[in-house]
Amino acid sequence: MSNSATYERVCTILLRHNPAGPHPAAPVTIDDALTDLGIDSLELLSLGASMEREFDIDIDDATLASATSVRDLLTIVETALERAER
Amino acid sequence: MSFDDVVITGLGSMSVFGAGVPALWLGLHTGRSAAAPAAFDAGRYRVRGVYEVPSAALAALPDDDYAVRLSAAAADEALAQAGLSGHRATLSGAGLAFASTSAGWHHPAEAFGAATPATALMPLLRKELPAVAVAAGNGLTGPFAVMSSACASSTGALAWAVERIRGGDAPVMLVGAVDVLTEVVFAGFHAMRLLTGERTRPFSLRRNGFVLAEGAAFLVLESARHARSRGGEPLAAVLGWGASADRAHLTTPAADGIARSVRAALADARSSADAIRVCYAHGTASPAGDAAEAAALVEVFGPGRPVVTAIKAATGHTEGAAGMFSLVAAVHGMGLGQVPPVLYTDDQDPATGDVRLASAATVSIPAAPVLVHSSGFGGVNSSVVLDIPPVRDSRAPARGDAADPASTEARVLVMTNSDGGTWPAGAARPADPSAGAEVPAPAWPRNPPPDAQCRMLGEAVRTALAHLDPDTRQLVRNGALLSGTEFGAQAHHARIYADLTAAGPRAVEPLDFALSTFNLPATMAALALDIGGQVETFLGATGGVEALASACHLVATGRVGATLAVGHDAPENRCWQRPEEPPVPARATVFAVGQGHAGVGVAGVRRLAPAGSLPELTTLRLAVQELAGTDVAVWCDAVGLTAEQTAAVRQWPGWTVVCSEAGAAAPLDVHASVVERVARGEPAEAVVVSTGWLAPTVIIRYRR
Repeated sequence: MSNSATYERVCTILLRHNPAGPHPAAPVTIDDALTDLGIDSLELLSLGASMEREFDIDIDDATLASATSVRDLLTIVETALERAER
Repeated sequence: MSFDDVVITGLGSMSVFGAGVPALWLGLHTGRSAAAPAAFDAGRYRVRGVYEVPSAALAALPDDDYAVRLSAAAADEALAQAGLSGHRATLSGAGLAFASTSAGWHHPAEAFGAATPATALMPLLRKELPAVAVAAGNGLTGPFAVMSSACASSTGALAWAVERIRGGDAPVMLVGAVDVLTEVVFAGFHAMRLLTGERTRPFSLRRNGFVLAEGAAFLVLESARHARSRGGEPLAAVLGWGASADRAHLTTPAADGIARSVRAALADARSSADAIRVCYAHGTASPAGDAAEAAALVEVFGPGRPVVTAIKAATGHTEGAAGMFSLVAAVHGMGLGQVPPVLYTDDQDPATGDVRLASAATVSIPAAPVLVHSSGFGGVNSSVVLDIPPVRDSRAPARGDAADPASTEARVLVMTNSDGGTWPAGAARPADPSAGAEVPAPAWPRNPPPDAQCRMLGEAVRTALAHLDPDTRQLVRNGALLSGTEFGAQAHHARIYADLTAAGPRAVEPLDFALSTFNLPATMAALALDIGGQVETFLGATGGVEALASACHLVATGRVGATLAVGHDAPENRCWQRPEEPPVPARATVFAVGQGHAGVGVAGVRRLAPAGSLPELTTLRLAVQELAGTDVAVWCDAVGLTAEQTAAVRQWPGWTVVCSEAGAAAPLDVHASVVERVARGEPAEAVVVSTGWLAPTVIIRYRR
């Protein structure tokens, strides 16, 4: 299972990038679609930059563009962190 | 007003393949390798390859600012081919239309205010400098404009120059563009994830962005009659142009907007879609851009035709100069009867499969007429139709002909500004009670969100729309929103530079870049208020006044029924200032121009290229006399004059000297105050002269 600290950090960034403000009702869940959280294609670019800064990782263009859910974002971060550790 | 065919008689290129059009043409067939930039250290970016102008090509050029060197070399080549090198007498009546998005930012610390620029460096920080240098170097005194409408700037500059020749303002127009590789722009496109460091593959399944590049390209535009009279040989004819705003999204292109631009160009050219043989597409190798452009081309032309090429595969993306390189390539290719292939695209994306791409096998086909298309951030489009000369011999008289009943006097109908000023006072809410109420608040996009300048401009435009009757308002929405700005939206670029310096490429906010082009506030307003016509931006203190002059021309020639012209600026976008430069107000001033009997008439316009950085007084006075005689009341905005010049003008009988604040809105306010006087008959006719540093002088004659 994913590292919960990483997950929390991804969620924090996500909420910061919802142009409508923090998610009003339930907390973010891992299966939420990014579009349901107010993340459009332009915001995804901004969010990608935030994740790169937060985790000190590089995310390639195609990988970021293919992300559609919270789970995808978490996978991107964890894969990059694992790669950095090796 | 007289109509004449407009022809191209010279081409020049200083490209990533070196000096000269032959080197460009060869390069379009061979491509080249990307390499790490010399201009800055790209080691900390995910993408590192770019195309720069080879240093060997620069060695023979005189020492000067980099953007000036590239521009002057390309201009010289074009003038030489046209047979006009050193012909000062011919060139003195000629003008210059120029496009750039990033010139000046190659001195980033000073341009963005991190370091105080030395006085001598200040002109080098402005996009206008290469144009001013080329105009002064060749003795051009005619119509002059620098346009910056993102990556659609070049085709827009060509269109503006075509209108100057069609209108009889000048027999010869030099048209050029330069963009130079700068780290802020590279970092911005990098943050937007639009770059590749390897190969630009337009319409390919394997596309992954474009290689950022640079260069300068020029052409000589001329009336066919003038070319004939001096024995000049036309290389191509410009049949027509079109422009549009997507009014859909600021960074995702829309097929509908592209198709409207292409159709407008075909209509202006009086050409059928079936006649077009070749299309030079914008082709940036972005999935959304390729898809929208392909859909638009298929919608207008049908599947499988015309042959489509996309030279960014070879040249990379030269930003504001991109359209000029396409135009130069198209004209050169027409002469050879050839079309360059789309390099690196042997695996066309099936989603664009109805577009027939040029390949090595389609190199030699009927290579004209040609459509050249450009699109830019903000959702703006600009298209041009070219053909091999001669043309039109058997055709009906064109729009703008003296016999054309559509020629009419443009009239200033409504003026508003963001400080709450409106004119005429009684124009508010015409008899139709629903009129004002049916212009809702601007529908701002959620992303990117409007900044303060966008909001200011949008509210002023909305007020202007609300003061128009519903029919005129609809004409405006289909017509144009032309804007002028001196400082653009540079606060965003300054922030990108500061973020880069402090924390590196990852700190660059992509939304800053999306908001940063000089045309963005106007395109944002167009999007929010459903304006789908031409949206373009003129630079400099007189940029708003030029927007007004161009708006009047569009109406007077029947091209559009009504338009808006706006000058706007805000202090946060002025990153440095000259000694003695006045404050810049946060303001947007809007003029609505249309036909009919209301308002105040615009009886004539004159434009003078800057002579060096300042207007030349003898020429200025003569131009006013030619426009309106010697008895007319003249208001002269001396913001661009020296103290000595201002003192001299004060002595001229009938001239009133005023001095506006900085930026492109305040000079338009001077026009607004004179228009109000003329409307009251105090006096019934007047001339306003607008001057500016590094700016053309624009002179407008008003009458009741």
